[in-house]
Amino acid sequence: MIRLVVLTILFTALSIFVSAQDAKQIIKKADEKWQGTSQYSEMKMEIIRPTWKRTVVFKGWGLGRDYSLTYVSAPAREKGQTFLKRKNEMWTWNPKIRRLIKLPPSMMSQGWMGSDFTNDDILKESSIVVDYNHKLIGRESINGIDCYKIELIPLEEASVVWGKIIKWISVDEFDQMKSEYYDEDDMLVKTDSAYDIKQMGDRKIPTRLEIIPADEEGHKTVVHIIKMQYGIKKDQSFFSQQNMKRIK
Amino acid sequence: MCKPKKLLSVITALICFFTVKADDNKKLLLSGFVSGMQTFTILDVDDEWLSDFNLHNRLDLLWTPNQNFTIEAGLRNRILTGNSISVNNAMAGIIGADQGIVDMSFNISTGKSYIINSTIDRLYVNYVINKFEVSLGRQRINWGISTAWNPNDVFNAYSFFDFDYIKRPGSDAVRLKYYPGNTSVIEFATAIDNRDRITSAIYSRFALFNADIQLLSGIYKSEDFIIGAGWSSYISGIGFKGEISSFIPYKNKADRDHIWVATLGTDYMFENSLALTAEIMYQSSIAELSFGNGILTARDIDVRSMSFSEISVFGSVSYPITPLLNTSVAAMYFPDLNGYFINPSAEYSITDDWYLSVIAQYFRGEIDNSKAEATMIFLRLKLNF
Repeated sequence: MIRLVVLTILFTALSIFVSAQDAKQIIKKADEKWQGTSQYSEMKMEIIRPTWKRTVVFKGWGLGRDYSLTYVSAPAREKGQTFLKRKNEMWTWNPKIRRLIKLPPSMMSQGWMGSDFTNDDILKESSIVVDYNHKLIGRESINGIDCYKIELIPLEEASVVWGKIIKWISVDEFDQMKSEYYDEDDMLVKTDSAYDIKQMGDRKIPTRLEIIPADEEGHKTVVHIIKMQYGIKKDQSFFSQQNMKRIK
Repeated sequence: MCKPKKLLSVITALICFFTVKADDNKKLLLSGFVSGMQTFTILDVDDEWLSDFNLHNRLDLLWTPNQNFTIEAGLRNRILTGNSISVNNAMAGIIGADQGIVDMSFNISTGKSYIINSTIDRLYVNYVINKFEVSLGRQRINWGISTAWNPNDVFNAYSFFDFDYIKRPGSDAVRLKYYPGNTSVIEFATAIDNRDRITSAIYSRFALFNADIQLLSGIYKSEDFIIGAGWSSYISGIGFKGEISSFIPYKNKADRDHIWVATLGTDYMFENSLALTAEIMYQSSIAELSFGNGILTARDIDVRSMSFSEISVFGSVSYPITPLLNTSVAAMYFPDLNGYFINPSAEYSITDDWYLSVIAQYFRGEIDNSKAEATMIFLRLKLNF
């Protein structure tokens, strides 16, 4: 009898352990699929409000979570502006006044060029794999696609702006079909949803993302992925202040 | 001043650029704006106001025939009309003057109340060989870090008041750059102006201990040795930055003093995008104040004496009331003039590319022991492309 109890406890503990590992593995797979080790992307972002709409077009190069370079192609007023991130340092280059400006790390959590996106989303300061504890909390269908439902709670020491994230990851393809972001008081802040799975480079990924802030009727940001290439051959020396001024 | 033939050949060359592979946007990029701006200058509210209307167009062309070679050309076209011109006979001369060694400012037509001017303020080639770069021609060399005054910006100092010309004039210069690391650069630049004065300096900028640091040394306008330094850093999201330059005369020493200019500034942006900036400048030489040509300052701003007071204080607050409506108030205080400057502005984004701005500049102070004040109100509609 005691043996059975011990075995049950062990088994339960093991299954909890396995589920935590599984959840982390699922998130890791999803993150690796979406980010790749390196990527080049072209995106169009529409900022939609009840009475107006603005469009930003940009392209970006990324290597891991430490290096990124972003070039703004539209609107005309911001065209040519670039952003460089190297580890925890950030700069922006303004070609109109030909000035390189160092940016504060606190810019990371602010809306990117007026959108519901944050700099953190673009510049990938935090990692959904490293900075969170993961728990598989169920399976649900999102737009007809079978998904794992996973809860992400940030590690205490992680510099993360969210209190909690819930992600729905497709079982077959490991695509992040939906994410809910909560603040530290457990209030929903925004919901990301993914649509239009298409072939981009060597893999199939969702090519339309909608970011809807909670409690703000008629507000949304839609990101269209025009181009995505994975495994680009760029090492960290590509992410330089010299290239910031040269890329087009 | 008017050289129609020369201008015609330049325009023809620009048109050639447009037609060559104009569809290949990788190789040829055209950008610019068209704006119309109404200005009222009020010295005494009960006296006659000066009313001006300026039509302003900018064409910037960036041609990249191959990966390592670029040519940049910038053409600024203006139709200036109104009282500022009719009351000031010197205006055509001022507008048509070029600070560079090559005169590329052309008054196409002038009359009692109007001036049509085209100025080529960028025309240079840039060649890249790995970590080396060479640029030759009229270009902007911007070594400034601070917001309102830039003691390190020795090639073309920025006048805070001249908000309608953010691209600034270029310098006729040769510039060599070497990038030893991914976040550092060493430069050498030499420029010559319309009075054959040479400014030449070596400059280095690098990232150290989460700060950007720069050092420079050289000669300034063929009269001073210059040595300078600047930095920019963030502590808990609060920006700290500053620049210092020392000008040591080596020519006409009897008439010229050894001058120090230094700025110290801080800035912070809250999560709701409310941004605060404060800056203080010390300079041991003071600029002459002038109200000339509709702009509240000297045109040919000198880094040696950028303000009207030994100590100058700057502060600004900006806040987007809605994402489409950005507002700001900037202010300056000049203890030596017992004077101040206030600059409220609002900018509204009508569409992605159309912007409407209302800007005011108010100055009050004591000049030669008598009180003086001036107000300028600007209304601008601008299309960026």
